[in-house]
This record gives sequence, C-alpha cells and structure tokens, in this order.
Amino acid sequence: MVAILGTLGFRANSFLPTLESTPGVDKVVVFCNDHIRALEALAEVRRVCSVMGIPVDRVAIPDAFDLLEAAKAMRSQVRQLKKAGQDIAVFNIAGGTKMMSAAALLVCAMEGLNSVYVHDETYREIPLPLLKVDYSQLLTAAQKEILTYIWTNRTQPMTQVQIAQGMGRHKATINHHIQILEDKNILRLVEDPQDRRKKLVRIDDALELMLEMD
Amino acid sequence: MGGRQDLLVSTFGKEVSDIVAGIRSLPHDHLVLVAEAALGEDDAALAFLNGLGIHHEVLLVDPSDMTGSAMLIERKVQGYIQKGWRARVDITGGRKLLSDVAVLAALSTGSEVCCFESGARRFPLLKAMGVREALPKDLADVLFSQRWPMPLDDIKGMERDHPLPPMLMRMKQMELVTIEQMDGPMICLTKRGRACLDWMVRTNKLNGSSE
Repeated sequence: MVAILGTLGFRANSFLPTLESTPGVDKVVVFCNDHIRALEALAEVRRVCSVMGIPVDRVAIPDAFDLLEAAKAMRSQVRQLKKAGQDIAVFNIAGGTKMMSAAALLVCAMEGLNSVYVHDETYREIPLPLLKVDYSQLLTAAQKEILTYIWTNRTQPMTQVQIAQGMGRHKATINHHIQILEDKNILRLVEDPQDRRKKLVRIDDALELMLEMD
Repeated sequence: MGGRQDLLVSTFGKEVSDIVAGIRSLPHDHLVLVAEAALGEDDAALAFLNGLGIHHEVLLVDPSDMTGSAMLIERKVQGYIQKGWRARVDITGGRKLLSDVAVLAALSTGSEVCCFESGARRFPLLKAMGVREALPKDLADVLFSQRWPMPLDDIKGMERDHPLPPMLMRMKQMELVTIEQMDGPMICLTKRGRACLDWMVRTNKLNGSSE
C-alpha cells in the first residue's frame, strides 16, 4: 500500500510528475483549498489518476494562508494513513499557497517523510534533504512537564512564581528550566501589562504540534 | 544590557509590507533580507530600513537551486548562532520557493519559523537538526565514502562482524538506500539519500574540505 501526498494549488502539473516518478502508487492524497482553480487542478489530478486506476482522497485546507492550521491538518492525515498501514512514499510540497508548502515541509521533518519539490518551469522533481526530527525527544522530562503545565493552563498567562506554585515545585527549579526553554526559543517572557515589574510566560500555539501536546 | 542578540532573517519579494509585521513584532539586532534579485539603492525596502535605522544586509539567493540557496541562508544563520545570537526566520515575503528554502535553512539551524500572513504564527524549532545533525556520523561517513550503487552480493560476502552491513541496514530504515534490480541486486541511494549526500558534498565544498 503506497501513498503519495501533495499540496495542490492551481496547477496539476506541480503534482503529476511525482505520480509518474513513484512506483507502485495505489493511493493519492492531496491537500487543497476551495478556490475554484484549485478544484479545477484537483479535477485534473483525479482524471489522470482514474486512468491509472488510483483513488484520490482530497483533504480540504479551509485557510490556505494559516501555517499552523494547514500543518495540523496535514499531520493528522499523515498519522491516519500511517495508522491504517499505508506506506507514504513521498510528499510533494510544490503546490498550493506558500503557507501550505511550508506547512508540508514542517510536517515532513516532524514525521520523517520523503519530500520533493517540483520546479515551476521545468517540472523537474527536486528531492529535499530532510531527515526526521523528533522535537519532543529534544527536551528533558522536566522541561516537557513544565511545558505541558503551561500549555494546559494557557488561557491564564502565569508568572514563574505562579507556575512553581501550581506545580508544587521550588521557584528556583522552575526559573532554571524556564531560562533554558527561553534560550531555546520555546517560550517567551513578556511584561505583565497589569504590573510591569512582573514577567508572564508566553507560549505559541505551534507548541501543540511541535511537542506533541495534542 | 549585553543580553543575547537577535538575528532576524526575512524572505523578501517585492512588497515592503511583507517584512513590516516581522520587524515590528520580532526582536532584531540585525536583519538579513533574503532576496532573489539585487535591490537598488533607491529600493523602497532599503529606504524603509535605512529610514528606521535598522541594521541590515541583503543575501542574494537563486531558489532554482533549492539546496544551494538553503545552504547560503544556513551558513549565514549559523555564523550568527556561533557568535551566541538567537535566530528567527520570517517566511512571509517573497514567493513560495523562497519561503521553502528559508524553512529548510530554519530546520537545519534550529531557528524559529515565523509568518504573518494570517495572523502571527510562530514555530519554535529546537536546536539545529539538519542533515549534519540528524544523520549519525557513522552513517554520514558511509554515505559519503562509498561508491553508489553497490552490489548486494558484495555485502553478502562480507565477514559476519564487518561493520558495513548493519550500517546499511540502518540507512535502509532511514530510507537513504534501497535495493534495486539492475544487472543484479544493487544497493542504491534513494532520492532522500541523494539529496542528503548532495547537501553534505556541498557543505564540505563550502567549508573548503577536500573530502
């Protein structure tokens, strides 16, 4: 069971070379939005695939300009396919909006998928040098625990003291780990608008995806 | 003061507005504009940056060579990271290919990826995990030193304790090599294997290594 994935924009030609170059494909999954020209490109992909006897699944990307939401939708689909025992041969990231393409690239790195780009003019495939990066393994257990706590309570921005109290840990321990996480760009310390002497710990929504918080 | 300094790398096409959100919301002691074409003295973007007194430089890349462009950005960012700077890559500006090249460089350097096309989106990537870091050194050496394709029978004929067969097995698990039927069964590089080898060869060339 070999699947190929692709982001699809207005041109089926950005995807079709991968269909041609990948042996033994028995499933195609494309990510595209509802723009009429994207749907026309999808119809062309379906037409070619039907001649080849390959079913096509389409995953709708409601907001093709939202990097995070596109990445979430793609990773979710990739995991479903893997769970179903599908072997994902390659992810073609050439089509769709800039954000869809970037999202696909991030998902390929996180999920360890082969990825290719198709050149705009020559339609030549360009394999990309990507290896799997398991971000959740790059943190210590203590760092993950702190991030999980912050993530779970993200609706209420907290100071380091509040995090220490909430987790029942010593303030110095929490400060130490938060300093490291800030150095790694994983979280930010921002001024509390209510009290400028205090700093609030701020995290990004993308943590959900990068650190398997979901 | 004297805290950690921040590098902002912004992809740039034609629209000055594409880099404004990043400049406004991301800390930057130095800005690298990644562009496909040289910017003239009277370019609106440069006038804007000069007017604000933003310390900047322009890095010209040719995105039709994706790997080469990503490596140019990577080297620039790596140079700052080695000096203790923190790097962020804003991919809002420029065309898709330029943004993808910048994401590749960000993945390779562990820089945060940011974009401002549909509200602020920030992806903190952890430490540099490009080909160099993610590929274990012993496998990188095999990838680099062997002649490809390699007859499978040569491997089968090796001593039981020879280190190469288990390394090739690990490379197969990482989808760097595969077995193909040519004149006989051959161990060949996959597309990913070739792309990684290309990256390593170019890195060595840029570093001035003879191997």
